[in-house]
Amino acid sequence: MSSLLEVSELRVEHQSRPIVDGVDLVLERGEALGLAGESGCGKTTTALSVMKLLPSALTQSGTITLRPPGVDEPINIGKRTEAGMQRVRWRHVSLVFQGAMNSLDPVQRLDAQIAEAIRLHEPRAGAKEVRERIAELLKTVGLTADLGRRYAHQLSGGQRQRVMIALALACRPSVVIADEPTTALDVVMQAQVLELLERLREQLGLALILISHDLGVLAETCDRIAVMYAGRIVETGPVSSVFEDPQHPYTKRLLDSLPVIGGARGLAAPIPGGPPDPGDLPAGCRFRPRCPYAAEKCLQDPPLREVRPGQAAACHFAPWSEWPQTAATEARVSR
Amino acid sequence: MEVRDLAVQFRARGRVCRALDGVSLEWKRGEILGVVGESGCGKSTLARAMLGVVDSAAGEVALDDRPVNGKASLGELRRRVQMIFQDPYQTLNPRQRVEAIVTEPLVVQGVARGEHDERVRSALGDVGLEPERYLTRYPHQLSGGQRQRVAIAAALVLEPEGLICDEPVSMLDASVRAQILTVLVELQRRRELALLFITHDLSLAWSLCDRIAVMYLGRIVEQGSAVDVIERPGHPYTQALVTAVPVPEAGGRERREALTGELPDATDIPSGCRFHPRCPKRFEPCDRVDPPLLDADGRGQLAACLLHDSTLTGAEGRAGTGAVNE
Amino acid sequence: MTERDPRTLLLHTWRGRFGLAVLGLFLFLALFGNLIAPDDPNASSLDVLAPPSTEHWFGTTESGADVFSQVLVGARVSIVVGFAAAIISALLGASVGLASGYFGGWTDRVLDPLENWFLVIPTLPLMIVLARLLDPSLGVLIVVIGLTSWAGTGRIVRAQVLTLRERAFVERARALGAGDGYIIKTHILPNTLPLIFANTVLIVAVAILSEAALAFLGLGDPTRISWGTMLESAFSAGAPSAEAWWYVIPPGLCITTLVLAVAMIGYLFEEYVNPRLMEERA
Repeated sequence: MSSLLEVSELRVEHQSRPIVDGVDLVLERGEALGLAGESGCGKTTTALSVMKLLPSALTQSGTITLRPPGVDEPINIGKRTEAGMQRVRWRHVSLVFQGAMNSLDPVQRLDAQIAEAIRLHEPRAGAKEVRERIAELLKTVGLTADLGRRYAHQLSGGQRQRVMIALALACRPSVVIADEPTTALDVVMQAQVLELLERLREQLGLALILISHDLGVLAETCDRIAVMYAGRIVETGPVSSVFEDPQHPYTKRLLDSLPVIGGARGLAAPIPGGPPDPGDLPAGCRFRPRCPYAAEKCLQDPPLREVRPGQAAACHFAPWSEWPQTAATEARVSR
Repeated sequence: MEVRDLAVQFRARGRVCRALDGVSLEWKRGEILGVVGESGCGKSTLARAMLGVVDSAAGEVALDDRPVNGKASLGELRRRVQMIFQDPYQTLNPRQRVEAIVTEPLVVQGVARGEHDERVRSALGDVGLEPERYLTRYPHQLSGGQRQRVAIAAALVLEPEGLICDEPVSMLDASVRAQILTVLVELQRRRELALLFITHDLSLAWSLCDRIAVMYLGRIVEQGSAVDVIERPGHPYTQALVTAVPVPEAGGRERREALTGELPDATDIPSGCRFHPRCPKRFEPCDRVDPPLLDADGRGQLAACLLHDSTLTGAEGRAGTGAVNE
Repeated sequence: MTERDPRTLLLHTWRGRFGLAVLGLFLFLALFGNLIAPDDPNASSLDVLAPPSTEHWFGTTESGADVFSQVLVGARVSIVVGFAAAIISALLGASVGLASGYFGGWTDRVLDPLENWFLVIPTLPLMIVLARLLDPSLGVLIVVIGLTSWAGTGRIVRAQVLTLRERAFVERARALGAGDGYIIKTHILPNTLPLIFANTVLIVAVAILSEAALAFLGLGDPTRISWGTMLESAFSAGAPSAEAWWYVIPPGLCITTLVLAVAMIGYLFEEYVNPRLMEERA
């Protein structure tokens, strides 16, 4: 296979409690993959694993292979040492952190921070070249070059987010992982940032892994989506299929619970309870305690398998052609 | 409750910040009123000014048609209208047990000791928290959703008629969000509560609210029934907000022009219509004339936009195309 | 972050156990030192500057007094001064910090520079000046040390109160109509006390050292025996050149050990306080 990024059997544990439990992902060149799920499901941990940036208390296993364009040998991230990873990070895959606005050094000018990133990977780059690159980067993200001379606190939230994106692009990677890039932003700023990401993908041919708990954001930006629950992927497929025709009860209930402008008013029945504690996982299917369709069979762990062309779900009863109404799924409130 | 020409000002770095610049609003009994806008538009300030937590520079607040001025009426207001806050992790005193937290309003308002226990238990039950299990817990032993429920219970214990909810679910996960909203809406139904829902999430406003007021830079720029305002916005800002909301549906990819620029600082409000620098539909008088809330459709929907001023456009409604824009 | 309550921290870590043990020992001595002492610490004898023997476990002083007894009795002053000064410092620092943080405005504008003044002034010279101006007695010593060390606590308390003031639960209390007194009592103080406590324990260590320093410089209460006065007497009697190590090392070691023990407990409490504050946000 010649995909850009391939993750296979990724497992991350914290004191033998699984945070990420057997995740497989494939990212093609120029593709936008969405990673959806609620807090605690392991999506950020997955992102950090790809960059091998996990804190030492977590153990990581599994294969991660990166095949950036222009590089002959595929990069086996799992086998790389810290020194080896430093050559990979930012140059081939970079990360826009969650809460990015607070990840900027408050006492350094912004252009200095971008310059630092560039110099770490291209130590021989001349000062003029670096300056030009910075100006170009800022322009690419829709900021004027003079903003580079400012400090982080002098910029608004939306602007800082753009700077973070510029930073991520500094070394011209082929993969950018954006972890909740719009979470703290207003709807208007969010639209601007999403539009920017879209434009960047077109202009630079970037592949994007977009992590968000906001399914709307993922629907608008991504080609494919993977839904995570309790450390596992429970559904994956093209955005159009998954949103129109979800094949896992969790995805379905989540989509139902989202208010959509122009759609039905009122509230759908919420999913009861909360996600399981990694130290106390239910037997069999991890969604079973909250699933309105749970049955005896669900005590066996369902594998992630293809149930429709291009679409896979981890549910014994998939493919679903229709979703039966149960007491638990009846809409509780209407307006 | 009614708010008339309310203005709130702050001093920031030696300049005057007009956080609220003449807001008039009516909040009817038993209705769910949404106040929608970007962060910094003044919606939280409005809530605080309504409860008298922040001093107002001008205007007045009325409860049941009686103006709230002076200790007695303020005390009454504070008994009848309560508030819940955005961040469940900051909203509870980490040193207090749930029991103390929910009892506090009763203590502050001087309710007889004998009634405390019963009221607290009833409130906890109403939000879906079993009193026996939760009374003795500390906040750090609770999840985000549970903390928010405790906050709601504390707000209910005085049996208020109105509940101001300042972004009550924006910091919660999607599934927990749905749970908390269900609690709120069911309470509203059962107790005939009036809810003032402050949010920047238009989809939420769409699904829950009866009426909506859209705020921009300290003013209300549009108000009317939720369905009408969102489906047929009369103000270009509302229009932009509606189209900016990402839709969790397949095919949501067709992007419209996102609104450019950012919310200006409240110390530097633009002249004329405060939205004109960012407005895709602005035309000649917009930088000089500050439009009041005008009737946008003859049915009670109001929008502060010159496009609805029949004397200027020569026709009523949103026909305005004389847009001069870059 | 594992949750560690004070009891676990104190009883189940080696730092806690060491700290508690030493502190307990010296507290005991402070209370009963003069009862257990084998000899009258002030009694002079002809056995001047004698090295340790079976009769005098720690040898004798330049006036023939028993060093061991002096060490036992001296504990009282150090403990009393240490704790009393720390309490004064805590009370002062907490009140000023609370007032300027909570009320802001003019209160803050007046108190803050005052606090800064006390913070910046070099403490030892200030203590020396004050101790010279006033008659040396335990009471004066305590007040002097308290006055020069409160500003640090004040700063920390002020910062904490400033954040607390803006928290939602305080706002809610205000929205309910609660008065300042109620808010301070129910919301501000309980969230600030752990911080004050942790900080104060460390100030105890500082106070003990300060007393020793002042006594060593000859500014201590001459009527009382303390480890500091012992060191002062030892040095002025020429103990180092006489190689009378038994006179110098015991009091010095006691000061160090006590301060170490107090510091350990103080750091343990800081650990207890900080992750909690962080946890509330997580």
